[in-house]
Amino acid sequence: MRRFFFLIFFLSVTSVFANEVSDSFFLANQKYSEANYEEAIALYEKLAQAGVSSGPLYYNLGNSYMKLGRLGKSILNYERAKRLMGQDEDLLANLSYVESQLEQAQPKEEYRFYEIAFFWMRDQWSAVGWAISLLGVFNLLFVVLLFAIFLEKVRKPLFSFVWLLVFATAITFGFCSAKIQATEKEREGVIVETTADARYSPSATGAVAFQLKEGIRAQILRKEGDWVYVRLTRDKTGWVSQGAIEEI
Amino acid sequence: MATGVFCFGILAAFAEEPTFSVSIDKERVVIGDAVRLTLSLQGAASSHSPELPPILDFEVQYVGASMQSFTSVTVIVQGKTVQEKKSGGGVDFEYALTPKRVGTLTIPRFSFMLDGKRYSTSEPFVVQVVDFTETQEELFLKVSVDKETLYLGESALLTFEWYFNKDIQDYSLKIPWYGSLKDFLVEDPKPDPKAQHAQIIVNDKEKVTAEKKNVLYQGKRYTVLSFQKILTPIAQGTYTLDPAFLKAMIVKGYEPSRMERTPFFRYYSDFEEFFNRGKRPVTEPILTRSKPLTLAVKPLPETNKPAAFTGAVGNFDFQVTLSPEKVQRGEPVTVAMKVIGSGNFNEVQLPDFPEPSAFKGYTPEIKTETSNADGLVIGEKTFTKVLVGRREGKYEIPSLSFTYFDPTKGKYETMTRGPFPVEVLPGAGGEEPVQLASPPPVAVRGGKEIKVIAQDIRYIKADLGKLHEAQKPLYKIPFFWYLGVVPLPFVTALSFLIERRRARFRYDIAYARRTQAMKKAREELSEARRSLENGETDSFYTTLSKALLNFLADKLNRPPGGIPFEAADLLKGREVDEALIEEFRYSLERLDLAKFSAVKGDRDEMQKLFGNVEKLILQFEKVIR
Repeated sequence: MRRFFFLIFFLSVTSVFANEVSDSFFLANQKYSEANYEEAIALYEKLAQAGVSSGPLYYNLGNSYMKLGRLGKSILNYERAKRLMGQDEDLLANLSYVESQLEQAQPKEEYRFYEIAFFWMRDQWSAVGWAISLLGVFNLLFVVLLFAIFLEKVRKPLFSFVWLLVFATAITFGFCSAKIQATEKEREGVIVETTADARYSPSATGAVAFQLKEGIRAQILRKEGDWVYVRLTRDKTGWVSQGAIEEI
Repeated sequence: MATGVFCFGILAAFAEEPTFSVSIDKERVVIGDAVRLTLSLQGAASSHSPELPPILDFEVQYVGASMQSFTSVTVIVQGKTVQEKKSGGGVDFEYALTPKRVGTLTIPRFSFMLDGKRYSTSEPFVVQVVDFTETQEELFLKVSVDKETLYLGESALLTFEWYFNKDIQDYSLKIPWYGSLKDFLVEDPKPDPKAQHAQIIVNDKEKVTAEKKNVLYQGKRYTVLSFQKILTPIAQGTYTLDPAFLKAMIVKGYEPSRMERTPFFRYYSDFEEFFNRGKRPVTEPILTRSKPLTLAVKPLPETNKPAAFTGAVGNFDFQVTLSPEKVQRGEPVTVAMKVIGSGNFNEVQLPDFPEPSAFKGYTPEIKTETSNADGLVIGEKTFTKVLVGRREGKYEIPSLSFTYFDPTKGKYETMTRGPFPVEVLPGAGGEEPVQLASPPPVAVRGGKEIKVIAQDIRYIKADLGKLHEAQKPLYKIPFFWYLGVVPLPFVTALSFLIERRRARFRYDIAYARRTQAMKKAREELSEARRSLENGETDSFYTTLSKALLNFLADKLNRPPGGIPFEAADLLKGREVDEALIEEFRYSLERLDLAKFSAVKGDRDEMQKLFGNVEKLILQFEKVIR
């Protein structure tokens, strides 16, 4: 009986929370439709800060920033939405529209052909996909071994198949760890200030290597104090002040 | 520059006491400079400096002491070289003596106290104090400007020149306006790469690169050091550039050496210059100043000031080119607007460019190239704007204007170019240009394609949608890996072990018999027990005997029939305990006896025998491997 009460209490708490969230979201949408983008942003951001993780929330936030001409923030939020509803057509359309409005072109990394092949293969599946594939190949290897053990007649041809599977397991292991590494370590950020100086050292006195404009995406390599070390391409890296870039 | 070192013997109170010498660094000094007087103490060290008495016409200031580390020193006393030997180090006390007036001054003999002893110098020093003489001949400065009356925003070229025709040893150049022209934008013209350059120091701190050349001026050869600045006034008013001021030591000649005093050298005066090197120059202090300069900055006239004027002042031409005039949809049209001429290019701005709705315009690229010629900033500023045709048809890019103020004419000028016709042709194959942001084209049967008129972002979402909870990805959960990695390999390994055992049973008879011997023996023993319980005496003995013999036969991989005869030897060969073999022999005898004769034991006897055999089997199982 006590457990039942607890369950009811728990359900009601979550539903109250959900109601508040959707009310707040509705109100923010209202503000947006009244072209009161500043207030809409404040409400959406509050929801996002409260831990509400939803594709439409970030999408609407991206729209609001776009309306105010803050392209960097807009791209940042569209990218966040993309991670939750990557296939949404409206989202993809708006994202590419904002990108077409940017002042500075995103620098393209010149990859070598084997890198292109490797990255293409690595990005075929998510990290979870690769992990499941790795275990699949690995277990298939043992299933085949089991057959080889019990079926004496086909043992020989099965053993060559076993070698093939050992090789496949090793390859899958490589891609799996590369993908997990990429997912966990490679953090991306978007420049949210109109211009950001990328410097050679993490201090305001460091020589400026180049200037980044709002909306440019960069890989975040590490942080030191108030400075973030970013990488655009092989030959373009620099220290950007923390406020100028936001992690997706 | 030391003009001579005069050393004087010091009258010390005691002959073997430490000695002193006094020297000055120059006999000729320019008013304002100081003579350095050094008091050297040898053979002893004093912790405090001696205080000099006041000297007439000089201001005396103690500079500091420095330790001597050498043990001998060579000094020249009135032309004779004297080597003075010293036993140890000493101290030099230095004083700066600044003359208070011009003329021939004397530092008289003086005495002072040190460590309780009185010392006196033996002879006075004579010092010539000279003043700067103002000149405009051997050395002079010129500051000029190409126009003294300017409009606000109009650039003027300021030239500073320093003429001289004698060697200069020391100089101090003060240009009061250098680096402090607040109401002007000051720029450096591009340096002439072919010219010779020299560095001069202005206001005692700033290094300025000056052009160096030789010129003929009023019939005399001069070397000129010059630099230029482009001044653009940013506030109106009248400005006076204060005179520049230069003090220098110019070399009037060189002191002749003893060798040169011979008639030979006087005759070959061409050698003079060569032999002048490294010789003591005779210098003269000289000062010179430039004339002050006045610049009047007029405001731009307010009458007839066009609204499109953005501040460009100068003499310009405006050119606009559009190419190509016919493009396919989605292809770029380049509009190049070029402002050429002389003047202040910083203020030249892009003419107002109304963007036609049928085109998408990109942010223009701006390029400025300037150079100097005859003191003018000439150059061009190009604005390149790219337009991409969105819709087919014939259009007109409206006319473009550029407005500037011409200071020579004193009025505003507006130049208008265009309009420019441009035709957008349908794209290749009639396809819409590829634009990611636009929705995919929808073909309407029997009609024209839907055309995108304007672009904006799509509207917000009304529904919050599914809320995502932050959850750990699968690959971060250890149980996932445990489940995937452990069970199947474990099963496989187990199967492998079982299968290997099974295969051994099949191919290794000895192993198969040995492994299964105990199992068979147990079965036979329980059968014997059953016979015992049922009172079947014959069957009991037969079964019990069989159990024992079969067990050993299996264990030793021999036929059961031969066991009674060869068992003892075989067991010995396997290093089985003698007592156990004896026990086996006894049990076997008893069994044989009971089997083949009428002598059958009672139930107790049978029970005991069964126990013995069972124990034997268990012991053999342990011993025979």
